[in-house]
Order: sequence, then structure tokens, then C-alpha cells
Amino acid sequence: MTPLHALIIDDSEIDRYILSRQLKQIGIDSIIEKDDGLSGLNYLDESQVSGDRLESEFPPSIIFLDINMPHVDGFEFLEQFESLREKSNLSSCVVMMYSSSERQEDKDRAYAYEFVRDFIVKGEASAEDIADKLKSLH
Amino acid sequence: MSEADIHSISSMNPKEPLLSQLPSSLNKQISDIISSISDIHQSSLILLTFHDSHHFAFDLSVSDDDLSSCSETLDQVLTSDNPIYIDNLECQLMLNGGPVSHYFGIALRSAENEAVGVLSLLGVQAYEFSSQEEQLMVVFAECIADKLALYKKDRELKELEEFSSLITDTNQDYIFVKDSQYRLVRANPSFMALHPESIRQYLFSADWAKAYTEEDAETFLKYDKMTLKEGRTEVKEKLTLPNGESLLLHTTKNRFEDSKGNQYILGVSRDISEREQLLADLRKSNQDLDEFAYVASHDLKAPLNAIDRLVTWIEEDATEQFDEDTKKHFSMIKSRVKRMNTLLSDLLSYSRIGREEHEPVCLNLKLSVASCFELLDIPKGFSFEIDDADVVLPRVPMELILTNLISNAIKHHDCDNGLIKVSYVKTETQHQVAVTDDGPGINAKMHEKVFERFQTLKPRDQVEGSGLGLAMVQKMAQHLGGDISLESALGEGSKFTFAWPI
Repeated sequence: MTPLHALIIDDSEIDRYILSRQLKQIGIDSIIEKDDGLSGLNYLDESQVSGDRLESEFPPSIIFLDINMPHVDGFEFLEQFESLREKSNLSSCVVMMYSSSERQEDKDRAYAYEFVRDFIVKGEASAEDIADKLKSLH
Repeated sequence: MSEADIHSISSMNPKEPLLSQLPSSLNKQISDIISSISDIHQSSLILLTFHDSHHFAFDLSVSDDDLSSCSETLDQVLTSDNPIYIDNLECQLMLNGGPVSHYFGIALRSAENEAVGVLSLLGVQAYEFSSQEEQLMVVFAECIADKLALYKKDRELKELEEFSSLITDTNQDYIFVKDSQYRLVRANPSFMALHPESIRQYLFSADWAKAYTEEDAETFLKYDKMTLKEGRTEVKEKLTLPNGESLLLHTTKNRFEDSKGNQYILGVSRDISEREQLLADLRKSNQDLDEFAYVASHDLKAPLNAIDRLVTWIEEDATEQFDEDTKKHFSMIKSRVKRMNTLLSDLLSYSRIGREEHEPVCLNLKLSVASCFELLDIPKGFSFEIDDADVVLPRVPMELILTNLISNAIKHHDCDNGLIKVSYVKTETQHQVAVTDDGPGINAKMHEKVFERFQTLKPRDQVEGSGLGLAMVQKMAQHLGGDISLESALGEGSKFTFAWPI
């Protein structure tokens, strides 16, 4: 398996910490964290010069995306990412929702984008569950 | 006596005002008949009585006392089918200076054979009627009785009409009648008050549509036409008043015919603007509440999950450095986190009851209970007896009720093994599904309290629970139109019955 590069977009520091620790447990060490949708988009946009971008870790193969965030929330991110994904040739980059929401309408809204592959409810998935989900992606 | 008036000379029973208040037209008709009789027997006193309580006599010299003295005779006539002759009448009546001793009487009977009065002839000398004359008297009597009956019917009809106008006039609904040309022919005061002065002139004219906006008039006409065609319509329609104010009306229209075969439309409209507004507000506030419950549970659950995860990791990473106390404290933190998680989930489910609509489906009790088992951790020692019955209920609420009741039966059982029965009974008025256990039973004092929110029977450290389970069951049962009841005594197990009407 080629090494995975992960991007976590979540405004909660603790939730980012928990997810990144779980990812490290299953062998993913290349992890970038962003604290809202806007900084996430900026990181992904080629035309924006990102100081912290390491070409060896770009583009991320998987984005873990929170929904409830300030400035640009998860759904706004998905909308903008849809065009950015085509423009910047990021088709290898897919999204896994990472949210506390258990609402079906949120799930339906996220799955409306073909590049959204899964929906993890925070607190419900163990590191092993996440590993299984990642395996089924590729 | 040919032009004699009828005088009411006695009115001993004020409870029966009908006959003492005979209208003059009827008086005239009856007196005409009486004059014809008196033409035959000129010297007779002719007395018309009604049930002994109202007397009409054709001789002003007769007093009340005189008349009451012959009441026995009148009673006798009233009960007889044939005319009665009496030659030795005992009364104090005097006629032309001589005592009245001869009597002829005939009962006045309505078409329903109800005696409504007596036609009497009193004389100093004996009557000798030929059979034709007697027949004539019978016809006279029938004629008077018919007049009286007709008057009574007429009077009842008027009262009925007055009563029905009273209902229509005081009704807050807008009641109106239109003819087959869709023209207004009648309307109650509420209907008139609804229409301001400026448009009232059009209401009863062929130009009635001018009273309304074009759009409203079109809708009214559409349903008028449909009513004449189909017999009945029911619609929620808008009415815009000249001042721009808009009402929402619920209107029922019924077609009816008069005796000549003319068709009409009876319309009854009710202003439901306020009701609809309240419903909209209620829907909005329910939505807000749902949103709030969601946000609250979301925002509380997320940090709780983080705490749970972090505590687990600390435990994993540093368990060797922990002494016994620390280990105990960690397990206490984790159990409290779990408890709070349960509470939040239950709170969310409780607040959602009634806001989610579920379609009723045919449910097999055995299958429903089986699907509850998937959510429950059933200990090995427990066995079940489940009736093989079908019920028609929404799946999610029904299974929520069963899951909670079964879970309680197990959770509160005082032994490691037990028997739980899920039974179905149909009574004359109700469907009943009962969950019966052989556990410790519940003290009668607690029977009402167990359904209260946050009420638990045992300390939370002994039996985990949010205290919302039975409150949720009750709320759900009531939302389904039924209710939940409890039969139990200490040491005798418990039986929770969910009953809903047939």
C-alpha cells in the first residue's frame, strides 16, 4: 500500500488530536491539520502559496472533514472543493466526513458529492474501524 | 248568537297557553261553525271546552264556578268514542231562567285520536237529535278538531323555525344559501358582519362577484358549481377583504332542493386563520426545539466522546504506573461518561417523540420482539414467551416501547434467571400488548412515579439508567393514541400493559 497522506479539517483541537493519534496507530504518519474549511481550501489550492506545504506530502489522498466549523463549514468546503478538485487536478483526493452529527439529512447531503466516501461519527469509530474504512477505499 | 264571540272565561291551567291564545282568525272560523250549530238549536247554550281547563262559551252569564261544576261530565265525554246524552245533569247553570238539566257532548279528536276538547250543548229541555243531526254534530266536531290540530301544527312549526333561526343567527360560523344561479339568497348575521358596508350591496345581486377579488370569486364559483354537480364539497379557501385583510376559511357546501325541485347551496364557513397561524407557529417552535435538542446533544456529546477516548488512552499508556485507587477512579470516570452518554441519547430520543411521523404497518409480535433483542444484551438465564399475534402500529415507536419494557424487566430482575411474557389481547374497545415479568415487583406507592421523568427505582450506581425509559414509553404510547398502565405488587412481578383503542 502506498503511504497515505491525510488532511484533517476540524476546528476542535482535541478532535484533531484524537483522530491523528488514531491514524498514527494504524500507520499513517503524514498528517496535516487545518482548523477550518477556508484554511483547508487554501492549503489545497495550487494558486495559493502555502508555506507549510511539503510537496512530498501533497496532494493528500484522504481528507477528514468536520461539518460544524466557523468561517467555511464542512458543506461550504465540499461545494468549493468540488470545483477546485477539477481545476487543480486533485481527483485522487477523496473525503471522509468526520462529524458528531448523526442526522440522516447531514449524511445525505454529504454523500451527494461523489468524492465523499464515508461518514465517521466522532467517538463511534475505533482506530481499527478507521483502518478498515481506509482499506475499502483503495 | 250568530255573531257571537268566543270568550275565554276560564283559564285554570296557565301551563297550557296554546288554546287560550287562539288567534282571532281561528276564533272566527270556530265561531262560524258554532253559529251554524246554534242555528239548529236556538235555545241551547253551546259550550266548547278544551280538556276541562279552557272553556269557550257562547253565553257571557256563565261563570267559572258554574262551568267547573260540570267538569265530571266533560271528562266522561272526553273518554268516550260516541256522543253522550245526559237528561239529568247536576249543575247550577241557569239558562233563560230555567236550570240546565240536559246535555249533549261530543269529544273533539285530532287525527292522532288525541282528545283536544269537548263540544257541548246544554239545554233546559231534552235534545232529540235525528241521526242526520247527530251525524252533522260529529262532522262539526271533526271540523273544529281539525282546525285546532292544524293550528297546533302551525304553531309548532313556527317555534321550530324560530329555534332554527336562533341557532343560525347566533352561530359564529358564516352560514349562507345560494340559488342555482350562484346568487346569495340568505345569510346569517355573522356572514353579513364579515362583509363591510361597501361591498354588501353586491352580495344578493347577480353581480355578487364584485364583492370579492377576482381570484377569490373564481374559487367560490368553482366550488359552487362542483357542489351543484356532486352534492357536497369541502375546501380551505382564502377570502380577501376590501381593506386587504385576508382570512383563511374552511367551507363546507351542501346541495339541497326545495319542494318545487329548485336547487340551492347551503354553505358553512369557519374562519381558521388563527388556527392555521397557531399550527404554523407550533410547527416552527417544534422545529426550533428539535434543532435545539440536536445542537445540545451534539455539542455535549462531542466533548464527552473526546474525554472518553482520552481517558482510555491515558489508561492504556500509563496503567502500570497506576495504584489501585487511581485505577478505581479511572473506571468511575468511564462509567460516568457512559451514563452521561446514555442520558444524552435518551434525552434526544425523548424530545423527538411526536415530531417524527411513522406510518402504521402490520407487525408480528414475535418478529418485533426479536428485533428488539438485537438492541438488548439478554442474559442467558432469561426465557421468553411471546404470543404469535399481528398488530397494526408504526414500527419504530412500537419497538421502542417493547425494547424499553423488556430492558427494564431484565435490568430490575432480582435473579439471574427469569421469565418474560409478551402477550396480546383484544378486548371490545382496545388492543393490549403486555410485558409481564416474574421480577421483584413494584410497590403500589411507586406505580405513578415510575412514569415520571428522571425517576429511578434504585440508585444509578446499582442500576444504570437515565430515568427516562418509562417516561419515554408513556409519551410514545400517548402519541400513538393509547396509554400505558402498570399492575404489580412487591414479590409478584410486574405487568406493563400498552393499550390503544380499536
